Amino acid sequence: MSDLKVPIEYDNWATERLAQFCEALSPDQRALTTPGTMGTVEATVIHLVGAKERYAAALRGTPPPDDAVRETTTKDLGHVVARAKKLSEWFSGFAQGELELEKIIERRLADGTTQRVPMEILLTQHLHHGNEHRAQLGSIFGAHGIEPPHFSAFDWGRERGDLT
Amino acid sequence: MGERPLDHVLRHNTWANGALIEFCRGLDPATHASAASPGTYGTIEGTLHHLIGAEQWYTQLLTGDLIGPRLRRDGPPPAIDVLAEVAAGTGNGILSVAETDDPGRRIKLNEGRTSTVGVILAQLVHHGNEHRTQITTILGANGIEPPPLSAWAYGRATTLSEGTE
Repeated sequence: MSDLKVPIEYDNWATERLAQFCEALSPDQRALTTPGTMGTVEATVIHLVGAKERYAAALRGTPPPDDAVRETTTKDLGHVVARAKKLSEWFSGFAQGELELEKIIERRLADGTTQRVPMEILLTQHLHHGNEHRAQLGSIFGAHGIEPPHFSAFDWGRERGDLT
Repeated sequence: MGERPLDHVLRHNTWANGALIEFCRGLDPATHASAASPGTYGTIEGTLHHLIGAEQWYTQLLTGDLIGPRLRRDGPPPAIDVLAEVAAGTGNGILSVAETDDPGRRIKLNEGRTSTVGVILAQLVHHGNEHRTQITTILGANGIEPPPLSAWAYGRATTLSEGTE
């Protein structure tokens, strides 16, 4: 097992937890934002999961599936929750295997061009990106007096019994 | 390269802390001490203090070593040079843990609590990204373009990758 499995499993748990929390918000709450973040709650959670779709696709070497979350078309947060769960399953299986960290991964960008990046940098970016946008959601909730769900790695560890 | 898989995640964390500290060194002192944004931890100065102080504690939990002067939560804000020194030292310390330790090993925390090594490493990465994001949120909210701190930026800075956002 790779030692990356721990932060990857944490990312899965935290992203699913935030997506479920956002889905349960009212439309007005989903439209909230705060200065300095990327946008509204809804746009941020769609981007969070949409980017995870693209990291998974690059690692698989295939385009995202037809039902992938996309910033340009996805509106239904129930679908975002469902896809977050599917992506968790995929990343869990991926992290179980031996990782070819120096393998060059082809990554397709929005403008149609392709970048070649080492797997280890792509995975580092995947983990950074999840933490970054979950933190932005936490700031938006805090700015508007909404108690966010607990989503630190310590909370995850407590839920698993890894932290007592 | 031969590193453990987690190495670049931790190296990115250390690099991003260093890049952010250096950026904050160039801020107007009033901005550094007072700028804030709703929903974040506090001021830039207070958030950096908390961020690096927490990493000092995580590293001490895992290695038993206190790196640099203790950054007390209720103490005065440390000088930027002290933050830079502690951040670099804890970055090296935590890398040694990842290279040699077992993620499943259970260690003692305070008040009788215990945790696996893996959860503390995941918390360190989460915590670092979370509070750096809060600082970039404060910068953005105050009309200051934040420094690039993503792993793409780390890849470019270390010439490991030419990936971009």
